Amino acid sequence: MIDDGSTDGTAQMVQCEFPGVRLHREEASRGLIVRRNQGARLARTELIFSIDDDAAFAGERVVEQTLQDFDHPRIGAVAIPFINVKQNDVINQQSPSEEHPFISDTFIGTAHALRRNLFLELGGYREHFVHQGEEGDYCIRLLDAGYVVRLGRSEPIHHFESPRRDFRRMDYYGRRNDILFAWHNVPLRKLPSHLAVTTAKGAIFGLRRAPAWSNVAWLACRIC
Amino acid sequence: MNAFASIAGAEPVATVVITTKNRKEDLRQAIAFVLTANGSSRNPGDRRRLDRRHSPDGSM
Repeated sequence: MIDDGSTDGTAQMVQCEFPGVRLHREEASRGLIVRRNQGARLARTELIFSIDDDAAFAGERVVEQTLQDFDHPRIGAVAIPFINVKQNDVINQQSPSEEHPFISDTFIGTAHALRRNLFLELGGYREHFVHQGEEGDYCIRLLDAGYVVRLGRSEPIHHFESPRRDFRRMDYYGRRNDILFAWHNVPLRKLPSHLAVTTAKGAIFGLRRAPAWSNVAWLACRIC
Repeated sequence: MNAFASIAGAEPVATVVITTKNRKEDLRQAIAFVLTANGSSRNPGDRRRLDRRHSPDGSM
């Protein structure tokens, strides 16, 4: 359990109620991307499962079933099925077939399993992403290295999105990291057109989410 | 939590990493489910948490 600078007594609760859990508490908050990388370095096992504190295994066999999904050496990660419980009952990133493997271009941060050594060899998540979009960036590097993301076949993880999510922060880093993703991964000759479309789509998304003046003021505060 | 020896044999093969910040109550639930799913928990409280079902509003 990696505590990213909690101030609500989280670490004390874990130590008291779950003494068997290995706890790493950090005083300063550096975000989930940094902490997921840290978790991978601290672990010693071949595979790591990563979930956030707003997720829960819905069944007893999620881990066992997901381990079985790593049945080929080219499978570098498994996207574990999950449900956004507060939104609907749709099972996301679930394999459409029990018999045949299906691959995906990415996974969600709160419901996936990785080959740890491969993750570390590829440099883990890019920490300058700070928030949002690190999964897709890792997955394309995984593909470039010859590995794939498999859609999982396990029981779903239940994801209870936090009511305290900062959507403005998510939008900021989401659009920012769309551009960083292109910069890092798109071939140079296609980069100008890719960046133009990505920027335009990001601007349209932002205008639909909130009044323009509000976004400009917030962005100005961040820059200053 | 290196906790999956019972699945793969003598040596654990997987670690569940949970990242958290200021969500103590939700984290309690998340850990309980991981421990119970793994079969490593002998805590009846963990089992009771698992036996209850989630409701759409996120409560248990």
